[in-house]
Amino acid sequence: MLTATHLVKEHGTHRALDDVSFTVRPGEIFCLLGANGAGKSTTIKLFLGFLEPTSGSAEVDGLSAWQQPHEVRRRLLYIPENVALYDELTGYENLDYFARLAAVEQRSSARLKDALRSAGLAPEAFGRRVGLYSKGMRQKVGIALAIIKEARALLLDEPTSGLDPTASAEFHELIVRQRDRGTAILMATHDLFRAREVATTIGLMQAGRLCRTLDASTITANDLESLYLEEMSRSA
Amino acid sequence: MSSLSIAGHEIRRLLRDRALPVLLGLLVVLAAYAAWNGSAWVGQREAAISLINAEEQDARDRSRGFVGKAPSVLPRVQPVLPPGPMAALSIGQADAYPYTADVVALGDRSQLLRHVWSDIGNPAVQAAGRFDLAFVIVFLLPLVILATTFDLWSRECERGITALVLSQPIAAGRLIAVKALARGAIVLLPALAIIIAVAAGSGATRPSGLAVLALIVLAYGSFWLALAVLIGCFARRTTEAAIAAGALWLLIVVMAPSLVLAAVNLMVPPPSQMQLATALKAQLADTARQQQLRHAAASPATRSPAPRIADAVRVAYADLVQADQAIAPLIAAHTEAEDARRQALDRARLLLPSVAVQDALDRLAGSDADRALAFQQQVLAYWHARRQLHKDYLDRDVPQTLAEYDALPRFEFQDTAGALQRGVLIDLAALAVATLLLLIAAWSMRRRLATP
Repeated sequence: MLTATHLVKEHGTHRALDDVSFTVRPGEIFCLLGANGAGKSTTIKLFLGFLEPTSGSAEVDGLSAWQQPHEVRRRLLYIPENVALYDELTGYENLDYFARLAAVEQRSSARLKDALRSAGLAPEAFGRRVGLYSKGMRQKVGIALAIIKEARALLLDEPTSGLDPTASAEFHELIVRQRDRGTAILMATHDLFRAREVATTIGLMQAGRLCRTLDASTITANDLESLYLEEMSRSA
Repeated sequence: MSSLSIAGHEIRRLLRDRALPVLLGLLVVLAAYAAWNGSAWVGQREAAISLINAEEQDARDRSRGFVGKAPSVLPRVQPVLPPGPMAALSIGQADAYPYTADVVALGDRSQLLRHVWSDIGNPAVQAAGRFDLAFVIVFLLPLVILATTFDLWSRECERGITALVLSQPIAAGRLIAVKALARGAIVLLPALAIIIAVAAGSGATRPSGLAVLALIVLAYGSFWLALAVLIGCFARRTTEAAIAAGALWLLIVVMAPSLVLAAVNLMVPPPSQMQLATALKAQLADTARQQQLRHAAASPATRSPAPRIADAVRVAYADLVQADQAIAPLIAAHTEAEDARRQALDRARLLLPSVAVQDALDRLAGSDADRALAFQQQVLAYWHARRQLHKDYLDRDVPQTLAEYDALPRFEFQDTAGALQRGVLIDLAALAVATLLLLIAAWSMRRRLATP
C-alpha cells in the first residue's frame, strides 16, 4: 500500500509539491494526471526515497521511503518513461542482473524466462542484446522485473510515452494484470483516455497540488477531459 | 545482492567492450619496447664498465714496473657503480649521476667526480625520464586504468540506467566500490602480468624484486582506481568524466612534478656547479702560489742522515693536504646546499604519487639518488684510504714492496643494507595515504550518488 500524507517538497523557495495526500491500496491503480511540472514525477521520486520530503511522508506498507529506503525499494518497482538497460547485455542478462540487485532469491533460468514471457517478450528476443530492443521491449523487461521481484507496488512515470498504440495497449494490459495480482500501482501519465481505462482512482495535479481525486469507474472519458481542461485553464 | 554478483556483471560488460583487448595489446607492445630499451641501456652500461675495468687493469699492470722507484705507487683507480640486478626496470636518475670516478691518491678531491658534475634529485627528471618500464608504469598505466574506469558511473547516469539501478535495495556507494574493484581486477591484473613478464624478460629476474615491483604496480593502480571512484562520484556525463580523468592525469603525472620543482627551486635554489668549479680553481691557484712563495722564502731543512724517502716528498704531501683543507669549506658549503635542496625534493616526492612511484622504481632498479650518493661517499672514503696508504709509507719511511702493490685494496661498491626497503616503504606509505584521502573524499560525496 502506498500512502502520501500531507506531502510537501520545496526546492529553495519553489514549492514543487504542496500538501499532497492519497492512498493506493493493493489491487488499485492511482493515475496522476497533470501538465509538465505539476509535481507527478516529484511524488514518485519521494516514494522512491530519491528526495527528502520537506514535510509530510511517503510510505510503502507503512515504511518511510526516506528513512527506510532499502526496505521500501525491496517492495516496489519503478518503471520510468524510458526503461534504460545495459545495451551490451541481453534482455535475459539484464533481468538476471536487476533481479540480483533487487535481492530476488529465486532466480532460476526457468523463472527468469517465465517472467520475460509473462511480460510479453518473444522468446527469440531473450538472448538478443538490449541495444537492439525497441522501447516497448525494454518496458517489458521492466515489467518482467516487477513479476520476478513480486513487487507489492509499482511506480510508473509516463511509461507509455512514445510507445506506438499497439505497444501502449499491450503495456496497459500488463499493468492491469499486475493490478489483478494485488499490486498497488501509482502511475503518472498524460494519457487521459488510457488513465480512465485502467485506473481505479484518478488524481488531477496542478502546480504541486492534488486538486481533484476522481473515481475512475464513475466518470466518462469526455467528463474527464473537460475536468482536466478546466483545472489546467485555472492554473493558466 | 552479493558483491561477487555485481563484480561478475561488471566484468562481463567490460569483456564485451572491444577497447579492453586493444588497450592491453597496446600495453604489451609498449611495455616490451620499454623493457628492451632498459635492457639495452644496461648492456651499454655494462660494456662501458668493462672498458673502464680493462683500462684500470692496464694502468695497474703498467704502474707495477715503477714499484721501488717511488715511495709508493698508487695507480689511478676508476671505481664503478654497477647496475643493480633490476636495473632494466628504470634508468631513472642513473644518467644524472656519475657511475664512475677518478681516484688519484695525490690528486685533489675536486677531481674525483670531475667528469660528471650534474644536478641531483630533480623530480622533473624523475617524472619525465626515458622510455623505460618505469615510464610505462608511471605515465601509461594510469591512462590504461582511467580509460577503462573513468565512466564507472557517468555512463549509467547518461543512459538513464541509474534510475532503475538506484530504485533497487542497494547502496550506491557499495555498488560503485564493487564496480571499481571489478574493473580494477580486469584491467590491473592483466597489466600487472604484462609488466612482470616483460620485466623478467628484460633480465630483472630477482624474485623478491619482482614481488616488490608487483606491490608498487598494485599500489599505484589502486591510487588511480580510487581517483576513478572519485570521478564517478561527481561526473554525471561521460564527457565530463573523460575531461576530469584527462585533466587529473595531466595534473598528477606531468604538471604537479614540474610545479613542485619550480617551487622548490624558488625556496631552496640549486647551488651552481659553475661557481663551485671557479671558486675551487681560484682557491687552489691561490694556495699553490702561497706555497711557492713560502718554499722560495725558506727552503725545507735537510735531515742527516737522509731518510730513505726524500723529505721533498713529505713536503709535497703536506702541500696537498693544505690545498685540500683550503678547498674543504667551499665543498662543504656546496654539499650542504645540495643536501638541503635534495631533502626538500625528497619530502616533496611524498606529496606526488607519480614521483613517489618513480622513486620506488628507481630504488628497486638501483638508479636512485641515494644509491648514487652512497657511491660518491664510498669513492671519497676510498680516496681517503688511498691517501692514508701513501702517508703510511712516508711515516714509516719504508718504500712500497711488490707484494704490497699487488695487495692494494680494490674498490667494490657496497649497497647500503635496508636502504631499498626503507625508501620503497616510505614511497608506498605516501601512495597509500594519497589513495586513502581520495577514498575519503569519494565517501564524503556518496550522497550525490543516491539520486539518479
